[in-house]
Amino acid sequence: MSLIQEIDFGTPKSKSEAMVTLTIDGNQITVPEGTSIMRAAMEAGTQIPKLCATDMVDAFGSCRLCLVEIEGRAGTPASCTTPVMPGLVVHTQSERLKKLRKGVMELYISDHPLDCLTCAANGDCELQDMAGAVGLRDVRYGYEGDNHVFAKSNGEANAAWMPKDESNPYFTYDPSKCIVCSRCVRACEEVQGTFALTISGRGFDSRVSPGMSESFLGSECVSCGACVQACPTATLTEKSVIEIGQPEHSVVTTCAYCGVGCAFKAEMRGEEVVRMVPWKDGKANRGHSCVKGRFAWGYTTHKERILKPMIRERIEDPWQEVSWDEAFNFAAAKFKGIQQKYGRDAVGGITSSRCTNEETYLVQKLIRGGFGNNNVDTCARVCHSPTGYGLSQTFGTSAGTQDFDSVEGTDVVLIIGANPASAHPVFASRLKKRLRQGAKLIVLDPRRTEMVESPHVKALHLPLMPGTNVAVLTALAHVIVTEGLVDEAFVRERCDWSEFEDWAAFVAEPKHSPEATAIMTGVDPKDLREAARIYATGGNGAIYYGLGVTEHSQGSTTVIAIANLAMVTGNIGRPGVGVNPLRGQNNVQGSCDMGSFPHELPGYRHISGDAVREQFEAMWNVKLNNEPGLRIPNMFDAAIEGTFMGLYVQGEDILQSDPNTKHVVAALSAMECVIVHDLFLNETANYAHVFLPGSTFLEKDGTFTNAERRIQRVRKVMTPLNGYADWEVTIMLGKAMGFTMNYSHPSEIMDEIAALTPTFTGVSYAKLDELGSVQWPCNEKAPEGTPVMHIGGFVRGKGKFIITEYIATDERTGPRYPLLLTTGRILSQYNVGAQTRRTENVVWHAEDRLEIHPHDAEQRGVRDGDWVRLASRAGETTLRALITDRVAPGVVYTTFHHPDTQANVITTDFSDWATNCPEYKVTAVQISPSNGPSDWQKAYDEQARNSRRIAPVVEAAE
Amino acid sequence: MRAKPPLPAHKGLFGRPSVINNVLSFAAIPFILDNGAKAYADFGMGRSRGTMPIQLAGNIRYGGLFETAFGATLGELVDEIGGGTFTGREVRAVQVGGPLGAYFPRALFDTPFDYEAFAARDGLIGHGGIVVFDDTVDMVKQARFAMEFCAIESCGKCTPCRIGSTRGVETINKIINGERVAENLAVIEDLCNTMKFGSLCALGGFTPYPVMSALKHFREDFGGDLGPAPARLQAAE
Ligand code: SF4
Ligand code: SF4
Ligand code: SF4
Ligand code: SF4
Ligand code: FES
Repeated sequence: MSLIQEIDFGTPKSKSEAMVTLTIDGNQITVPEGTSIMRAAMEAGTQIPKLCATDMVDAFGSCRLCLVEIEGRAGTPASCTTPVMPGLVVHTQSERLKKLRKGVMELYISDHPLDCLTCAANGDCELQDMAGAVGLRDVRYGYEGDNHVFAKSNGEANAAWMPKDESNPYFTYDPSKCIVCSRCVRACEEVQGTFALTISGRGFDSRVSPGMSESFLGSECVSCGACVQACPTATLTEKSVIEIGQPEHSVVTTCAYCGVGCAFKAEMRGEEVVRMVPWKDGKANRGHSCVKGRFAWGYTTHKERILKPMIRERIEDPWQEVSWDEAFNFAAAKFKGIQQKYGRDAVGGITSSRCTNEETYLVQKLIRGGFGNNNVDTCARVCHSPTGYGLSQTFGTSAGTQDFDSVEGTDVVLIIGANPASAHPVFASRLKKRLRQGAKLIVLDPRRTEMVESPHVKALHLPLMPGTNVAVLTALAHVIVTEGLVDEAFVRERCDWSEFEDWAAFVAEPKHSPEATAIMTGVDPKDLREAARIYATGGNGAIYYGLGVTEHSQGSTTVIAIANLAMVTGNIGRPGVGVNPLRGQNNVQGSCDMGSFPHELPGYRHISGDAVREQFEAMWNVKLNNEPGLRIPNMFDAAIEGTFMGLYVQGEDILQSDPNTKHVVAALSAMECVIVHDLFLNETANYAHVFLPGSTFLEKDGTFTNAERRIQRVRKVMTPLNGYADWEVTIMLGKAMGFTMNYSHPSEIMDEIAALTPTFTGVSYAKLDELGSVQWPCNEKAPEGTPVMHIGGFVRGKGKFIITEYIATDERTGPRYPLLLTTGRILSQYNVGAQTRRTENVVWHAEDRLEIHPHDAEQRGVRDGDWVRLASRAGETTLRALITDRVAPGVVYTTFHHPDTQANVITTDFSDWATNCPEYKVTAVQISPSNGPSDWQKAYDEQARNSRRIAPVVEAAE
Repeated sequence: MRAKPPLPAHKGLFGRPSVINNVLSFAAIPFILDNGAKAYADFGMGRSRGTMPIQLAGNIRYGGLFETAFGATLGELVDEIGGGTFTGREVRAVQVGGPLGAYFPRALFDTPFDYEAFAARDGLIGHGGIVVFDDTVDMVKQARFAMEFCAIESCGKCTPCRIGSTRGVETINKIINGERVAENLAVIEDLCNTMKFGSLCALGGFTPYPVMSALKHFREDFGGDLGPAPARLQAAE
């Protein structure tokens, strides 16, 4: 194993198809038109010295090291900014060039410390490399002149010197080492799209400045790390590198946070992670990252991580640390006892959207094969089950239709109920790049999100009242149909025409017009009409949506309405268009694919289908129950009824993430044995009897499937601190219960999945190693996977238009609860925050705040930062207010990253009619000033503290 | 400052094709429209056709703006039109083309005012500015002034200009102080080479003209192995 060195071609790849042939240093080379001479040379194997160029950003031409000679042209053009032309004859080395490069390096080093030996970048510094490459031997200017290097010059304070900025928790900015190449500035603009950095001053006074000469932490910087990666010197360096030193080997793996699925190089020293660097060949992220994947992995070694199995008889008891065997035997005995007493169906399990495909597959296998019932469900229920339902009804598959690269060909982007800048940051960056190139953006969201306010992006924002998605989408369809914007050729060819006609007649009814629905939706009819026209006629239109669509009582209807819109405008079945759910967690897609639902075997095939079930029975060598099992909410109901008594929860904190916390508490408290398999004593563990320590993504092999159906490898870079990877724990738990699953490596589990699942037949670890990743379906028909679906026709045959009647949620506002609460996420925290709260990311989000419009705040006498009581029909909690006009009057908004907030105490039991996906996004509430945490919060806190006690281990006397 | 190509005519303001003209072009238009292109082109010499507004300035008797056809010699412009120095002393150096133009000594007064002819003698016509100095001028300080000018004006994008101009000032100061003059002159020559061929734009790229021409034609003002600055200058101070 060694450090993976990615080639830096200096300038981005050209997409042109026209080819150009030229001669560089006597070798003929053919490259696409628009390629720089620098890149062409690198492709031919010649590295021209460079400092300001890097292939993640456009050429800039400032360092002047990359000069070349071109026969027949005067001067010495910079190879990074000079495009290839047919027949050019280029020389990259000559006496003149050597002298020029040495001259430039001499200038650089005359304003640079000679600190290499003690410098964090030593061994990974392009400035050092270039000094070597050009043969710099002497700096004849001396070091007494003007400089940015020394705090004091000639005994006096040096005004040009600036101290290090260590404000960001993950990286430092040391201005004394900056060569002002602007790579960081351009990375922040072009790659990340935040525009947090600039060069302040000019001439010799030029320097990198976050915002208006602020600290990094105080600026708009979102800590994505793009600038750090781009920096050729030690100026911007990861604190972990400063502390540990340079890595010696690296392993490519996949981020375990969100559904973007960024590929990273885990750069290691032995078994210690030095840093995580986004991998340029990662097809989801193309070399970019966000603060979570790049920096927030400290939780993996956090002191609160539980490394030993623990058991207890009653949840009031303190935990007892035991051996793995004891824990397994205890759990197995409990589960078997429950099944004897209450019946085979009295136990079940919950798979995780955080764990690998292989682990998820094993948990459902254990439940179906070992427990002998189908009581398996997943937390994907709480986010994207309406996607599965809606898209399979209309298109015939339950996943997004595109790859992320598709956005590069999009002309109109319609974002519905999603805030990718916070929840899918790397995708958002790729999207913003496209928007800055001129694509149009329409945002449907109650709140003015970060997407609406992105620099150099103009959005058409339709601020709708929470809960009125269906009405707005139907109004969009109304405009398209009544204004004659239908892509009739597409609809006739690809969709069922008579269903279309019924649907078109329905949406064309005057009551669905923007003007008629404006009263409910709050959307300006003029804007809505404009949005419909832009989407229908603006070229390639792509829809991206998130939990703001699915977590509603009409979630499935909304997904169907989205599918209708795409079909009626012909925006499906080619790059640049499509319908794309932005999946929250790293492996939501995978956990759904792997048979996590009570009625479906892996590959979305119904458990009652004999042919399919028999295949599994044959492979698993066990008889399977053909009745669908319980969904999560039904499990809770059954627990309260006293018929469901044992639950195995892998890698999810259902107490914090499921709606109506009080109901969940009651259900969990009623159970006789709850097994929590996790990294930390999470909130659910407060009600558990067995705790099985989990392993992190750094400690296991497996695969994750991201939001674009992309299956990517997770690779083990260190021994599990707890002893076993999660898949091994599941196997051992099964064994203790008498159910044998024999695998020596997760690749064997994948082979089994491939053998049993038609969309996965072509998937193997060998293929993933070879191709980097594949998007399912991957089989004989698509051996290299399927980036874009429904090309030439829908998977289900004819696209199906379904009528979308708007039914207002039962969760209406009234005099007692006049405000609508909607929930969301922020960038630096992830989901319930179990990981991110255990990292330095807390500097950006120490607590959940309630966003409220100034008007509503004033009416209630609430000032910014005040504690407020937030009450709904289901319960109440308190948190601090943040007054902002990002939210419309009548709407309040909060995140749910911190357990103290218990935002889900507030949310209700309402859920999607088709899939039971809970309605997190609309709750009628009232707020009032308060003095501090509510009684419920205090009682909960007390219980939690009690429940987390671990009994001291009594050492036997010798 | 961005690298070219693409030229502004292809990609300029807001990424669109843009025409850039200076006042000289506009000033020529009425005459051309009135008398035709040929009449205009009949003025001038070689490849430099038409007329040029010339700014006579500095230590000169008849300063001002004069328009004349290309082709008059530098000597005619300075001595005949300009009437020599204002102080009445001898003309020692003439900077042609603006603050980044080369210094020409009397010996080059036969150079015709023509782009190619000036280029052939390592000079430039630039915007047509002519600044005259008499024999009290200290050319090493003029060389330093060029570097200072560049340091003050530099946008800071490219390295040769951003750092080079400051180092240029420092190094010429060392020469003025008589520190290792020969070595520092070699440094200046290398620096000028780096700036001339390495800079991104004309600011850094042309700063070497005044510096190198001062050094070439007025080497005696730089001291070193040629001894201290000539008594002529010391007398003038
Ligand atoms: S940044 Fe590079 S060149 Fe500068 S001291 Fe560090 S290792 Fe040396
Ligand atoms: S970390 Fe990201 S957002 Fe922050 S300055 Fe660097 S590139 Fe910009
Ligand atoms: S901080 Fe790094 S990337 Fe940015 S200008 Fe300085 S040296 Fe270049
Ligand atoms: S959290 Fe998501 S966007 Fe961030 S690095 Fe991980 S996969 Fe990429
Ligand atoms: S790499 Fe071309 S100018 Fe810097």
